[in-house]
Amino acid sequence: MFKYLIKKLIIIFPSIFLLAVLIFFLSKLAPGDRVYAYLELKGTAISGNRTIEEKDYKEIAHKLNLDLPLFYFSIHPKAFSDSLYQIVIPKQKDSLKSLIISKAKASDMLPIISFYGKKNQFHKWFGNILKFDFGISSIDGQSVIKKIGTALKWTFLYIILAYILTYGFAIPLGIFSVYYSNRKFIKIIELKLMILYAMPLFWLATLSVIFFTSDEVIPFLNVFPSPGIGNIYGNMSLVKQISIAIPHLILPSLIIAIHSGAYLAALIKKNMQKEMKKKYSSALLARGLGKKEVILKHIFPNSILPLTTLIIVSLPASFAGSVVMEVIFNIPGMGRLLYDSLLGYDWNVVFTIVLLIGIFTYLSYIAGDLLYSFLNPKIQPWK
Amino acid sequence: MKKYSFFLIILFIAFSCTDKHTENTDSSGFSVKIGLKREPRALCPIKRNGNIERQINQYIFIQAADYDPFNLHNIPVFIEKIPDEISIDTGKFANTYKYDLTFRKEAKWDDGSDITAYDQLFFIKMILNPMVEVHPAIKNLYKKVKGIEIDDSNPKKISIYTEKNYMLSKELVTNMEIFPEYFYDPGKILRKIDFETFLNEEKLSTILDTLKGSKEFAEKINSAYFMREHISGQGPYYLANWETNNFIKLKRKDNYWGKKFTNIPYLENNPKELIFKIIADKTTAITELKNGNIDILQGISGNDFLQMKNDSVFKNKFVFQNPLSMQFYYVILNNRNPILKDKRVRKAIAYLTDVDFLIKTFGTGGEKRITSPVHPSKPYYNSDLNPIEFNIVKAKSLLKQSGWNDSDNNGILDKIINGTKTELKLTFIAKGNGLGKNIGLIMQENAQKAGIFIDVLSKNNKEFRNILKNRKFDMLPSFISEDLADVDPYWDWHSDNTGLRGSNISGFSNDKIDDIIEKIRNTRDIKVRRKLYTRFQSLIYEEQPVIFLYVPTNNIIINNKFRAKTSIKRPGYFANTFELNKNQ
Repeated sequence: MFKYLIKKLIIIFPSIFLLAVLIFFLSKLAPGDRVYAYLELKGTAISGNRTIEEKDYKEIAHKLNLDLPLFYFSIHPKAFSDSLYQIVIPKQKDSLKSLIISKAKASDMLPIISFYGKKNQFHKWFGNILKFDFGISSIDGQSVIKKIGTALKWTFLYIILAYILTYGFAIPLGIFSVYYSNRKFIKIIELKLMILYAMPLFWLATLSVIFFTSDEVIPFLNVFPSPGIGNIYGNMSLVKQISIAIPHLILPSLIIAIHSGAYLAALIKKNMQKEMKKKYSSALLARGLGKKEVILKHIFPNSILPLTTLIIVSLPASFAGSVVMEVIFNIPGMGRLLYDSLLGYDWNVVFTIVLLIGIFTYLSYIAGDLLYSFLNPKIQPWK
Repeated sequence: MKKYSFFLIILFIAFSCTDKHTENTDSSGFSVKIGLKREPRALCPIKRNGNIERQINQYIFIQAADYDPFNLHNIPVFIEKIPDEISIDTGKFANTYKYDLTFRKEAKWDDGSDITAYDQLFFIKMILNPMVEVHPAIKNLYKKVKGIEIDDSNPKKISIYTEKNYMLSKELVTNMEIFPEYFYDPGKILRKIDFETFLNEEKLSTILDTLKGSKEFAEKINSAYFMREHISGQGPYYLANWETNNFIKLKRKDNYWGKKFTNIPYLENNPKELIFKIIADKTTAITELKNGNIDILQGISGNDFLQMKNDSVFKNKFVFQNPLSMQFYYVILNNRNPILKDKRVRKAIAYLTDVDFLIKTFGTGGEKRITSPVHPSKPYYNSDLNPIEFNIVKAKSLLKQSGWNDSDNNGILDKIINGTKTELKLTFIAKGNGLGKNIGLIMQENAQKAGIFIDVLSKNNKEFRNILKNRKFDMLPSFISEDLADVDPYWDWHSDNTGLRGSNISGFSNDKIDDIIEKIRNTRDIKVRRKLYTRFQSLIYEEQPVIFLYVPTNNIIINNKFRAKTSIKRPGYFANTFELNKNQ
């Protein structure tokens, strides 16, 4: 197992490198002029209506390393100079390319490879990442890692709460619905939960804010604190911050629990019913064990195994946050950060989040393998 | 039961910790809680200073002189009086205007030191420093400053010389916040360079490149350090907390020097705290308002505003204010398009625009129609111009005069332009699916009745910006925001700015109007200038380069526990002047 872990952890480095390459080139494909975007977001240009001097443009392009080659090498037509990257003004670059193409012979358009060494945009960017320097946000000049750290804290807290409530709600419900499978009340509960599951999450969340945090509709339903995370100050201890935030996060977590718990309970029920049909369960009942004992001690542990996959798959995605929930419940978490960063073309933040989620996904899959083998010793991926 | 104990404990915590009846008064004063839909990007008035930023900045940074929000007169704030304009025709500063400013002897920074001429000098140098990222409009304005002299015997006195060819040079030297030198440049880096050097960009760059500490100074100003973490101004409040995407808290300055000037609203600090809560979702914000967790909500759509005004719960708890905003809506017509080059077509579209219906549908009833690019609150607003009526018959007649006919009976007018049969088809590009698109759809319906086909397209932010940048549109809804100072029409209406990157987006050009704009800019006599403004409006009205719609209202809901006045001046409310009602 130890060897397996080491092997998996070694593979993580080329995986991160490939992910970084992918993210880097995606960032280059993102639309828009980065120099103008930088100026606009710094509040030093007015929505593209004013022109900026060529000198200033080049200066900012240099600051953003845009006057360096993209990668360690490039594949380009023979007719193009290997130093074309030095022209940073898009219009000039495009017209030069058109001019070259219009005058080039067919043989000049054959691809060639040029090597640039370590002085390239990717190397600088990735080098900084390896040093845990993720840069600064182009929206407000804050350190990217600080912004993500703050947002992650709240998303983490509310996701953990949501998981506890979801599983705390879905598992007993799944068990009850198997135990009392023929009872009418179970069928009614299941139907109502399926209706809740079918409702759009944003709608459910909005209604819950209106119904449960204000006197607007039915005063006695006003039992939850206001949306947000409460009056938290950066200089408070983490424990105090969490103790203030938790009451505010209960309602959004409950909404998630009810919404996804309905689906999860149905899944648990289905798995348990499958187990119930197996011969061992009939044999146990035939030996005189009670239905309750068979379900709790034998059927449930065997049917829960597929759920671990579900947790492992959904956990990394959960940490990207939920834009809908965080906007409606006013939680300053990852979903809102990602959404605001995308709207503001704050690529440093966007791609750092993507990279971290990528790494987290990889690590959670390793953790999933270990958990799987722990729950079912027959499964040992290292063998 | 044991299994559920944890669950129950959590619920118990949740229910027992509700903050429903938060009291916002105690013996030391009261708080005002304001809802904001997003975080400000920075609290630094030399950067972007949009509506959100302005709502907070106005309490931390105040201007040397400013327009009183309630009587709209330009009043001295931390200077003793509004300076006279002295024409200098000879000597070192020939062909400039001189303004002598004296800072109030009481005016102090947070560390107790005086606000002096050296702070003003530092501020102007910082703006002109090429390494410091400043809003280009501000930077360009300060390039008009040609000299500064400080009275050695009295550091509270400063003389500023500005170019003569700028109509708002007095406002330039008075209506701007200044920064404390001790706080933003403790090493006094900029003192090492004399002001004359700042007028010579090349020389300045060379010096800055070699001057020790200049790069670090600029980096600090450009970074979060001075944009959000360390902020200091001369206003009556200071930044106490900024919790990202949660709230921003300003606290009242104890023993504030300005408190004794009771007739200057900007120096008041009645509430002990101003708390800005960031709430992105509209429904959540309204629920929070209703719950008393916020006291002020601004920027509400007309429909929502009226709905809440008629709601019995809201009616009893809030005051609904809708002063006119300092902006106006209009539809830009691309005058580069051969169809829209024709004045008669533009006028026909104006006749086909039912502005009164737009106001009735989207407004609160307090909106005001406009006839030209001048806000009705301006003293030189030309009230002799009548708003163009909605009249399909007149529109059809104008189009006929211009040679447009439906030759193929397909319901769309056509005409031979440059030898090609051209149909009267226009594209109306709106950003998203909001008000702009709805205006387009109503215009589309009416235009169709006169044989004009308007294709209404909704684009996302990115696409919209590209379309705007490349001027690839026929019609586009937009708005212009103004200040209370006289407007410089040069940027939006002069032919100098019709280029692709210019600020005259409609591409409209007219020699007569250019001439009048130049005269407006160079006329110092206010009476003469106002006459020129009147003429300018008449000419624009005659040409109809764009479709002028209306001035929207600034819809503000305020908890009625406060005695609060609103104003046409942005942002419309001044929480520092709020007082608690006696029954609270």
